[in-house]
Amino acid sequence: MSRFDNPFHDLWVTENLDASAFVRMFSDVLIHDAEALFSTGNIVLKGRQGSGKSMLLTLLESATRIAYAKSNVNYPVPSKQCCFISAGIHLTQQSASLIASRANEYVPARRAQIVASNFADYFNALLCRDLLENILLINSAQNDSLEVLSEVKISLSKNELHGFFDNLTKKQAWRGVLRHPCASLEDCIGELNERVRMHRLHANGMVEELPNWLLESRYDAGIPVAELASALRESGIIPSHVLVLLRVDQHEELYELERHSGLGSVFRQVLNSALARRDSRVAYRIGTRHYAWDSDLSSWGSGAPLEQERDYSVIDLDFILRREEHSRGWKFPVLAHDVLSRRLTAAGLSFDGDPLRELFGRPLSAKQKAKKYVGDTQPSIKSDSTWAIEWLNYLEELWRVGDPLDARFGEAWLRQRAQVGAKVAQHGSLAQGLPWRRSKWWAKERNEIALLQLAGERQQALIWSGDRQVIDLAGNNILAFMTICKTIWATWQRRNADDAKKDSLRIPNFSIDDQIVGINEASHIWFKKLHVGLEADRRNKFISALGSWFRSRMLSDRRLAYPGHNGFSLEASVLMLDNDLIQLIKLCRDHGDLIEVLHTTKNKSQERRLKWYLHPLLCPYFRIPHVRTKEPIYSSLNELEKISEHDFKAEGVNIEILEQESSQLGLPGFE
Amino acid sequence: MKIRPWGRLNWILPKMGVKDWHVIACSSCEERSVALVEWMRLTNQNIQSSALFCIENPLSDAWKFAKPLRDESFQKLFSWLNGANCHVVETSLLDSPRLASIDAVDKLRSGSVVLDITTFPKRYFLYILHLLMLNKSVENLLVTYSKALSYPELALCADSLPPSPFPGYVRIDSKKTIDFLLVWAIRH
Repeated sequence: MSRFDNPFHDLWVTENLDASAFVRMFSDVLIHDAEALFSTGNIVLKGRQGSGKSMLLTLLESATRIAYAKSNVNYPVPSKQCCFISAGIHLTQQSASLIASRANEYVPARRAQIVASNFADYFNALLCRDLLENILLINSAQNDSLEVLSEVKISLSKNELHGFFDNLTKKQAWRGVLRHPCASLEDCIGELNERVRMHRLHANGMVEELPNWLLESRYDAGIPVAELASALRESGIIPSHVLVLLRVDQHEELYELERHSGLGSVFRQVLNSALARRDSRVAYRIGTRHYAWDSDLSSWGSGAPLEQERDYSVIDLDFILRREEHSRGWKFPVLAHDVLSRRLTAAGLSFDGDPLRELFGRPLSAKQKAKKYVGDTQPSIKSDSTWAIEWLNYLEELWRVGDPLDARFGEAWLRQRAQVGAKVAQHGSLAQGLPWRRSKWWAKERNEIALLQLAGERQQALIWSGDRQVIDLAGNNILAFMTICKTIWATWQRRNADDAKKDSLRIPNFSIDDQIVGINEASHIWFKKLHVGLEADRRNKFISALGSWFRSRMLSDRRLAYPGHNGFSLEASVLMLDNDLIQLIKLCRDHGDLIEVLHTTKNKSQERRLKWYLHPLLCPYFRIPHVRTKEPIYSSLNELEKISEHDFKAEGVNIEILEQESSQLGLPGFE
Repeated sequence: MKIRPWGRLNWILPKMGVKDWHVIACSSCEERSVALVEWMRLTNQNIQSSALFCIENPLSDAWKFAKPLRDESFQKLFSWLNGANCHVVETSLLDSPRLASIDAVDKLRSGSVVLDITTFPKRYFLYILHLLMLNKSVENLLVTYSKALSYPELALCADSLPPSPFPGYVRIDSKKTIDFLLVWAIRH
């Protein structure tokens, strides 16, 4: 590999990683937080797209464990917790939707019942088949090398197999499942294959009806695989103390299927019924998104809801990775560093120390950015006619000597209420000593909004660069982080073709303008991702409206009085209302388009409020700051409904500012 | 040897020497949904039988606008096909296409079929195509498509569903590994 190959270009979809690539790429940073995955009990692994759910579930796969053993890399799980065998179903890849494909052919009164029975059967067959295939896989690896997965010693002697089938065929849930005598696990897999095949042929319309042998041997979800696990232990094929962990990935597929099939929550309820049994013979590992899990916890048949900590425990990856008030203990940067290092090392590239710093450098200071934005342009202080000439001269001088940021601060400071009340602008003798910097926070809180205005006045793209900013823009999402790395690398390749083609194995140092271009590209990609998921067009329209609304408010704020208006806040009680817009806000939150944060209000009423910001990686697209500071917009449902219809005029915003902006932005003055 | 020629309709149809056709068409909000039947009518092609699809979309603002246009096309097509034993198939966009497709194919009165895919939803026409290919009584199968005079610079669909296999095309033997790379080039 060389620098010509973008190390982030491929292999970034977990499902497509082969086991040996997984060993090279997998970061174990989250293992301690996800320790429950390797213990007893059902676990629901929740997170947004790109949070790393599938990556953690893949760690459980036998093929992954074998690859670790063969590559002499320590499996990143304490050995006392390795005594398990895992099987799984990937609901998207296995086309779970096929079960609903002929639902409208059934009598409406029985439709849900038939679909539930067929789905349970398809689910059971896939899990049982995968469990048997995993046993064969481990056995084969152990035949090659006894050291592989020594905690799960597989024994497939004739006697054990005979005992196994004798035992299995007597189990209630397996009556009629094996239509022919089986002597090997392969025979049993063949029977299950035929079962899966019949469901698919039926979905494709290639058979009129499911055959009677299948219909008569369907069973409740989860029981056949539990009985299979039991028979495997009792016959000695797997050791009696080995846990059987059952992975169900892309659980949200069921939620999405239910929404358009008109079948209520039947699919999730069938799965919930398997968890509700608390069957100690098996334990489920469900990979899902927040909205898909939380919206229906009832079980098929009984209707009884699942109870957290009794029927299942939750590992919330978004919660684990999010940043608390203070950055100490923030997991995401550690994860991002580790993922980056592994990706670069796997590509054969070299670096010393911190690769993030070497690739992206340090972020520019606010003053440096301001100088880049204004370049050699003449001061553009907007003074009032009542201001003393000394003030105008002072601010223009600041600009000329290379401090346009303070010049802009000075103008804004003079416009603020306290200074207007004290007529400061009329007293030329006060024009000295950067009085706005007497408060430690005043300027710091206004850096971003001042920079946005300086760039906006000159039709320039905002500067995004540096290791810290790359981490911040990723918004605690590893997929967003990888997207940024990928687009910046691709930009560097395009803009520095000769350099990229060199055979050097040293990682490059990206220039700031390559980073600006690459980050803007990543932001466009992230914006386009709004087209994926539930209610994609409504979400897209709402997020676009919010982005434009925030920008227009920040551009028109000459007093720099509202530097936090890149977010909005609502009373928490409003969220209880049955309202379309509230549902939309929640949907945006669950898809990661909006970040929801508890809002400690400055209002005297102290009512509980929540605030929302765009995902940081959407901010370059809308040309607004990603930094959350000061107070957000105190909004109302009524106002947001107008905003969602792009009715900015109703909110007293200077829409002309937005209309004047060009979509073709220049890069700030870089050489 | 099977011959699979392709080309413009006025070039290919005379070469086939077919006298009677069974037409399968779908009414839509787009004007071009009537183009094939209109052309066959104007050129005196004999349509012995036909199946005309009338498909309901899920409720949406766009559908409120499009439905009257679809109804208008349907009325035109129905009146032009009515003499040709027109069998109307009413169904919904997201329903299983199986029964409706069987219904359409069962009404064949000629072994020569024109399937006009112009404004047919893919999940329907691909299923019908699948049935026609399996149907031994089908001797000639002509698949037609009418280009639009212009295309709007708008999104072609709203709130699209997650990708899933077309009905009738679910992979029977699933393999986890991907052993091919699909390179797809599209215009912006």
